Amino acid sequence: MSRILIIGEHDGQNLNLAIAKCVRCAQAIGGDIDIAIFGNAVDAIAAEAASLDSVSKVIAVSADHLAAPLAVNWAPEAVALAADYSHVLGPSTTLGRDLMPRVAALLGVNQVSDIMEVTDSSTFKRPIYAGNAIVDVQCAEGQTIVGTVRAASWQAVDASGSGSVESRAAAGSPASHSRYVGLEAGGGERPDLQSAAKVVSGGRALGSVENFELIYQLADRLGAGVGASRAAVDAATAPTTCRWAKRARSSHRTCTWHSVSPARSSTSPASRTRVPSWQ
Amino acid sequence: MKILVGIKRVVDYNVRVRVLPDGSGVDTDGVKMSVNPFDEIALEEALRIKEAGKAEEVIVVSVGGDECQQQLRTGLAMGADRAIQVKTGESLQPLSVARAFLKIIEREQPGLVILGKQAIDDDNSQTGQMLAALWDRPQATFASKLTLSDGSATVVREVDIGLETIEIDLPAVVTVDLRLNEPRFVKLPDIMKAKRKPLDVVPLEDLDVGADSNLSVTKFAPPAQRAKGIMVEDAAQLVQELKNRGLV
Repeated sequence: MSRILIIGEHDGQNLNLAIAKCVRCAQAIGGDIDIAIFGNAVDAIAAEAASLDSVSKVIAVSADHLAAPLAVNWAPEAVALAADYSHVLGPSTTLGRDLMPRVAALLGVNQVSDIMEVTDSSTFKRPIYAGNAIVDVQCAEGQTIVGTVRAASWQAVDASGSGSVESRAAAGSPASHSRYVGLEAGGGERPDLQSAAKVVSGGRALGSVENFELIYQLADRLGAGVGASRAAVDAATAPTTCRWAKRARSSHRTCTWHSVSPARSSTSPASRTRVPSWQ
Repeated sequence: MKILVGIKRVVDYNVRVRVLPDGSGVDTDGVKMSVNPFDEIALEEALRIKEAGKAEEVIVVSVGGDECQQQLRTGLAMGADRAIQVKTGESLQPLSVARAFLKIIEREQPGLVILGKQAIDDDNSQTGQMLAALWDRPQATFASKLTLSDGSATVVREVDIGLETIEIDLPAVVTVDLRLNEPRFVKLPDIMKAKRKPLDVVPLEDLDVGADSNLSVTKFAPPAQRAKGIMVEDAAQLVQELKNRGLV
């Protein structure tokens, strides 16, 4: 029986939507599911995580130096907990992609990136070549499996569970060589691209900032986030913060609406929604 | 200061990759190979730092068979001072590549290591972070702006919700995103000059790096076909269709 630990991403207030999707992936692996929350004063976030279906326990680790999501500070905490688990999962967000390989290296294993399907508890499907091929990855027995979960491939679980919350002291000390300076969030009052359930996206064909205004109007009517292709951003039709057509952006949308050209370079056919390629 | 730049030989990004019918891999027969585009950006950044007088030497490193010398030569033609090939016939996974890089770092003592944020073939996005972990040094992934000052660097990172700024002490590992810069084109005279620049070959065995791996790829398959789209007459029908699918 597997014991699965999910590293919970949050913004200091709310749990990232991707975590409920990681839980769905963990359900497919099968076994006990725990979530670790690192941060400072994380009680509310831990309670939110404990309410997710199938979660047995949330381990809350609070310390000043864990407040900012620096991989150098979070990774030792994940490693300290990993001994009790067969699987350590994180979301395939920029945070997860920054953190999890560091965790994997400290555990001496390679990581299974972007899990899109679970075949059994040690075999996974993941996309390569920007989704132009899907591979089956088999993990060797007897080693911790570290993976990131591709958000677009999984449905979020409901929040009707009742797991317990356990507080623990931080295992590591702050890394003096890395300092968090700040975050310049984009998108203003609209939902940000990462957590928006709906996204309206515009491409180069809109041609001007004035025409792009149509996208904003439509998005506001739908309560959607606003996205833009790389081409539109490069042409200065849309602001940089709207850009989603690249691998760095992960997305949780249930619905996307595009006026973007179907160029192969910006699509990943593996996806249900139109999901960014590396470009 | 020396800057070490990692270079991976990958199928050119313009090539449409095709999965072999027997599912044993993707067809690379006669396919154009190039430097991983993110690694080109990494090298460009290193060259700009050198041109600004903040570094003395730029070294390009690749792990692979002799064919990757072609990509190392491209790096030299762009302006790198010398190249190191860690020679192996096996296809290594990120952890082994990171271990090999660490050995090269111990020899060369660079002040900065710049890598692409991911390779466009395996899309793993692991090597840089793993190297930073094994080296026990800072990491700044997905960099879109890199500013060096005395002994430290300020890095703007492209994250899901915007732009994050962190400050790291050197030496450190930086992995670069698409927006950091636009790599230069290689000029013909530089290609000729690159042939005379030093390229060291270090057998992987000499580095004492285990090529052990906990993952094996058992099957390749083409992606599922996307469902066909539908044409709608007007906005009302569009809204209706979206509602039918429970999307709005």
